[in-house]
Amino acid sequence: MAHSHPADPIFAALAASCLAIAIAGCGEESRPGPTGDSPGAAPASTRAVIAMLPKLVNIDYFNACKLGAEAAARDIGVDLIFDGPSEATAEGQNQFIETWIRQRVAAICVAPNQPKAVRRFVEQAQRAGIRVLTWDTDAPESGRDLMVSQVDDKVLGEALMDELASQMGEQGNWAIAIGSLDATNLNTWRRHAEARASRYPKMKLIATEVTKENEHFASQRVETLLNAHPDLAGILAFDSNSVPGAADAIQRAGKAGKVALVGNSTPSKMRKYVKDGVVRAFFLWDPRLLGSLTVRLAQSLVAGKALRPGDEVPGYGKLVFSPADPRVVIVGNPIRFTAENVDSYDFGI
Amino acid sequence: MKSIVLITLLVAELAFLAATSQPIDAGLLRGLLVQSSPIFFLAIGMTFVILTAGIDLSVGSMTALVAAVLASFPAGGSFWATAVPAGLAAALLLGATNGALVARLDMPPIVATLGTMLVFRGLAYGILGDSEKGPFAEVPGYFRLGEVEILGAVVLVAAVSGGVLYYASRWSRELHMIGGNRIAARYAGVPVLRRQMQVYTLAGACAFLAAVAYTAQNGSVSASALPELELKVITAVVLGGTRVQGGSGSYVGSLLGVFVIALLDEGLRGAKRWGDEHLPFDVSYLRHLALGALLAGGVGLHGWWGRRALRSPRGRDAGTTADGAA
Repeated sequence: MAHSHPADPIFAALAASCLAIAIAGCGEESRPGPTGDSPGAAPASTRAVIAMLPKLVNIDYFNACKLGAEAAARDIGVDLIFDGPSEATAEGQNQFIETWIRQRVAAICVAPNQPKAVRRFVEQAQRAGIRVLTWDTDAPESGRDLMVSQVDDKVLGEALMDELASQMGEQGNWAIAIGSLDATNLNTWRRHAEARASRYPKMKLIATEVTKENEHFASQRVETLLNAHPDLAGILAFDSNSVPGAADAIQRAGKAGKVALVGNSTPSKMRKYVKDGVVRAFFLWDPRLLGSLTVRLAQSLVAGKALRPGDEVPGYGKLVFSPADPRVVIVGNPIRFTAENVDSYDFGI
Repeated sequence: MKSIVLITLLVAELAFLAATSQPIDAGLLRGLLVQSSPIFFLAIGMTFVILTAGIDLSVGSMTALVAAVLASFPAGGSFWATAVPAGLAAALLLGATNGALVARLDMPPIVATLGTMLVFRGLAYGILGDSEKGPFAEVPGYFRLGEVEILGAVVLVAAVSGGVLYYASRWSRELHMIGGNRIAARYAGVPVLRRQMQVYTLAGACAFLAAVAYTAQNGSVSASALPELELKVITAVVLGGTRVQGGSGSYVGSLLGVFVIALLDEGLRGAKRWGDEHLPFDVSYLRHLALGALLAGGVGLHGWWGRRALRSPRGRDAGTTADGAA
């Protein structure tokens, strides 16, 4: 039985002592000075390394962001790492941040899935002398150096609500489909949209569905929603996967034209539904511009440049800061897509 | 000597890290130790479960649920006196539930724990809803538990106590017997049902440690946290040389298996920049391929080794493949 192979306890003792040495060793060496690392610790290549962490990888929207980021990195001569978890989880993202802290990248740009969970890792990175930016979605209490926001949250939230109201004739029951209740960007838009809804007293919000930023899951949830509420007249969806998921459910239920659907998603995902008449209009910003501006601003921070409103950035124009938070840069205004203009935008995806 | 296979794998992985110009230093060890600690704790419990020819698919959901229980208490100094004991009690209760389904209702472990995997995940959603919850930052001293000095010490103590239990207890010999031949074990006077209850409850206790380690690192938990964690744990244990049919295993192998998996993850995460320059595809695509190859190759090698040892008259590992005491 277990005691017929005497070598294993020896290995147990060996492994245990290795572990003990390792712990003792790390205890001493894992304390970077409060001022960060010396410049001599730069990697062999002298180019700065900027690491960019989306909520998850391999979806159209973040692939488009990546294209912009890569182009900007080539332009300004920095090395870019664009990587992240394949599911939108906090612990998956945090593991990437830890890896990059050890690799001593110059800047980490993160789109945090869960702002509370990322906080400690932002602090760790900053203690190691790394500049930390948020982009796409914020973690305002994490102490990040800068947030690069694709739109003014209020402008987008209100534009979405106004569009839905006009399509619904300002009356009827409506519902929300949203990727998660944690992601700061989606929920800030949701709050602004709900606040705007008070202008339309004949409209009533009856349900909020959480879709995990997964198109297939969104489709299932919205299908259930349509079955449960046959009188539903409109859906507001808040992320690039929820909108096509909801559109798919509406189309399959044969309710195209009866249920208004408004949201923000990518032209590549929505083109079909716009042409089929399931969706009359949706919104987006240029995700490539978001990616490229994030990389450029990260490099400015690494170079120690102070960023001020009105500073000129190539391919973008003058920097605009959010009226609500002076550490938030706004990329631009949302673009309204319809069947007429959807083909004239190519975000490279 | 199953451990040699695993140590060779670890060395190969370190060579991959070196080849892709990643630093191999104390920081790497620290990161591995801290990040893989939840899997590490769960693998200890899982080794004993699989030893009895059982399996526990619910450990990932259970960890998320225990973390949810912890997160539902208010922050502050009282957290230690309320949430922590409540979390431990919940973990033991959940583990005992699995034990009762398997031992008392005689359900096949894979079915029983597939059921509780779903139920525990559902309960986590019941507690947390769709939002993350994180009182942990405001609990004095809680984050200290996630730092390498404390967490490493807990890992060490857990590993050593598990090792003593595995290699030097009558209890563990009885588990070997149950896994080898349950009926023979019963006739030999082993209280089979009680042992099964105990082993699943131990898995629950390990889930408590994993939940504390997870929340002390990440500071918050959501109901969808730790997806597919059970698969990683089972992979580590099986790769480590424990037979899923029960009756024989390798405790040290399980612990090394955890590091093989953690180092693979870390190596592929850190190799992104190297991969972008040198490979025509994204290096992260290798993850599933490598894990599958490791598992199939590792288990295949263990089996080959076992059969060879069985044939050799003085083979030391002979006893490990012979089914039970019969």
